[in-house]
Amino acid sequence: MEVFYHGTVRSFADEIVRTQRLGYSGGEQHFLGNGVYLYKEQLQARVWAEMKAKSRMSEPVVLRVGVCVPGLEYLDLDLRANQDEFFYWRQQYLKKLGLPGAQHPYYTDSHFCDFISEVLSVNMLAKTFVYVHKKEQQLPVLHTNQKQTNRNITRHFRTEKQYCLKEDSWIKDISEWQVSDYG
Amino acid sequence: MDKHVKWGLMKEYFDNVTVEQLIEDSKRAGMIFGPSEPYLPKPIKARIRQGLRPKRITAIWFEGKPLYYAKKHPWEKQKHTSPQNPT
Repeated sequence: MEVFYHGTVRSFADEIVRTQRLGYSGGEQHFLGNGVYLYKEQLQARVWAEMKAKSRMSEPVVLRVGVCVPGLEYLDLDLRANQDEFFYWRQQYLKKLGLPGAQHPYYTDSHFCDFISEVLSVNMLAKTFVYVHKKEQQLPVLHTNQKQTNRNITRHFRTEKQYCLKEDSWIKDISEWQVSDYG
Repeated sequence: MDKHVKWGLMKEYFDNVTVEQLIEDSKRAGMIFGPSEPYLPKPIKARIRQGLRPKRITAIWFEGKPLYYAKKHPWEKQKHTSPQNPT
């Protein structure tokens, strides 16, 4: 069994621990598609929980989630080989839908991830994404055509590895993770 | 089963699927479909809809973000006049 962490707020956490069920997140802003979003890193889940708690005026809570992940059904999109395949099949997908007479798709990464999960029978996807805090606004800066640039700009940016579980029946145990458990 | 065989399922799928079935499977995954049209930024589409010639859009990059502005066509540029040199 592998351990993951999920950041949430007090009201949801109590319900989740009581029912032992996590809700699905979906929509275009969830780049791995519809599913339960988890982190391997406690601190990342804590940051997420604090962000949600601030907007909801509530208490942040981190949940410890035990998941049984059969190795064959876990697709890590950080691996170069899997990335090559992902972009190749994305190209083939759009090419096939670009045939004359075909309807034009409003493509989104999230829906495409749901599509490949269905075709490949994969129940968990993982990938590292850029994490942009609303206030910090640290976007990667590659180009600028200003004559005088701020030489203190950085090309490094925060990232977070997200795990999207498509099948919540793999979740075996959900408990509240205490701050004293850290370390 | 290693990763190559796993992606082989995708090859098998694309070799056999028809466009109609692909659209159905995509819709089940949540993809939205509509009439085919080329992608254009909204301001240009609006101008075309109004029957106006689209302006040339260009961007200046500032701190990693583009600041868009429209360049005028030569015939759109106003000729500057001054009291000393009236046109």
